[in-house]
Amino acid sequence: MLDQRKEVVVVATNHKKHFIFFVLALTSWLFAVDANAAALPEDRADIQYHYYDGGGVEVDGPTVLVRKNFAEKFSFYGKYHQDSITGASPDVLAGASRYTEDRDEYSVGGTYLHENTLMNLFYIYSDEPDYEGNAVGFNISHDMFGDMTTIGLGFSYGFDTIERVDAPDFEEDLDRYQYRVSLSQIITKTFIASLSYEATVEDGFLNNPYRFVIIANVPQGLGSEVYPGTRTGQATAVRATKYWGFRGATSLGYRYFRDTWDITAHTIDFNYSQYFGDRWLADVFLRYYTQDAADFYSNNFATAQNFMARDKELSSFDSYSIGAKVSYKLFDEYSIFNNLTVNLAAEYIDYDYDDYSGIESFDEITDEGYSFDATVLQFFFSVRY
Amino acid sequence: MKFIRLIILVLIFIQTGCSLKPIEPWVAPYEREFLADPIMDVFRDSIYSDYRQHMYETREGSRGAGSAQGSGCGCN
Repeated sequence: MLDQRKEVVVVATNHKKHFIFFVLALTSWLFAVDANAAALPEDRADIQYHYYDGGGVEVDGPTVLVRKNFAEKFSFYGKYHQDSITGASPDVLAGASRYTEDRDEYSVGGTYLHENTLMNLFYIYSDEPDYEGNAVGFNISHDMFGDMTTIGLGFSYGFDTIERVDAPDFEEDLDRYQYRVSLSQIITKTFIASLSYEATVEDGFLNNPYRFVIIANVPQGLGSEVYPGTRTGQATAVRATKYWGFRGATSLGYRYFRDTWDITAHTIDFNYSQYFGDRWLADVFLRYYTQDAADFYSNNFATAQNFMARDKELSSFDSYSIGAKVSYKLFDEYSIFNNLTVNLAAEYIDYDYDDYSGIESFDEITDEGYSFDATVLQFFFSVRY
Repeated sequence: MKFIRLIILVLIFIQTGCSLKPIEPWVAPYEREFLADPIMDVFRDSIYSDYRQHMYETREGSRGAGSAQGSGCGCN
């Protein structure tokens, strides 16, 4: 436990050194170029309505995305996303009334194509009544070995401010550093595989300020959780995607996550895409997720500890989801709107907690595991131009 | 972190072609019709896949190595 804390502190304080190394590595990369093949993202515009309903929370709202290329060297995008949130999860419900709030997210970014290297810079701003998030990031990818292999590197820095709607004087900060490496490899004419790794170092206020812990059956009141001030998580993901002769493709992904709070997580997902005729494209997908609890999590602490959490996201649980997406091309290929599609996706998600009871009031602490299911709908129009 | 540094250094060494023979691509550019098909990218509609990823991240204790970058909370 003590060793883990030391590790967190060392990693957090060394992030600048890592960043310098990262910049040097990226610079070296730019001096090593071969044949040109990388391509800018395609011009497109999307408009979406999304809806989530699960665990006493409803979230819905619009998303708009526009991307445009210039001079065959640059691609810029702008995106707006809104979450209109109604209700609250059970632990928040126990201490607060139901609420409605909006989260607005704005992001802009640009990609520059140089030889077979793509460089991407982005900024994201997110605002809600009690949370302000900022993130700036840089990614670079490079095709090599006859464009059989693509290597990518990236870095993001996030700086957030956390507030409480019921306590105007409350204000805390959180810094986040993310380092990414990825490798994509063409295996055959119909098979491609990728490997990616991302380390996330967080430093600051990591609690949810509204949640509380229970000690010896006694709820301690809002804001009684105590988290460590730093956290380092490492995620490694692999994905294999195969095209089949019947105009279909399957993709299988696996991700392993481990952090310094002793959370280990596994994610497996499978996606099958299939064309039908000239206008229809359908996807079906499955996802399974499982994680262990943080080492300072308890549903009901026996005695007070230095660090205490009763956040269900830090408990031990399983989740599976199943969903489908359908895309329909509205006009035939001779129309000027031939790339306009209408898309509908639906997903069902089940969450099953091992040692989180979930309470609707302070008087209902049980040993039974909480569970809930969620329904997610996404409806969007997409046009490429 | 040491492991990542080692990987990056090895890749830079390979990329600069210090002592390796050129590798012949075994899938020629004109043979990549299927690989270039949009259905080979499960994250092809970012407006859709970014939202899904954010939705998972706000309800799970892990993050990273996915398709999208995000910010904010929206997690109560």
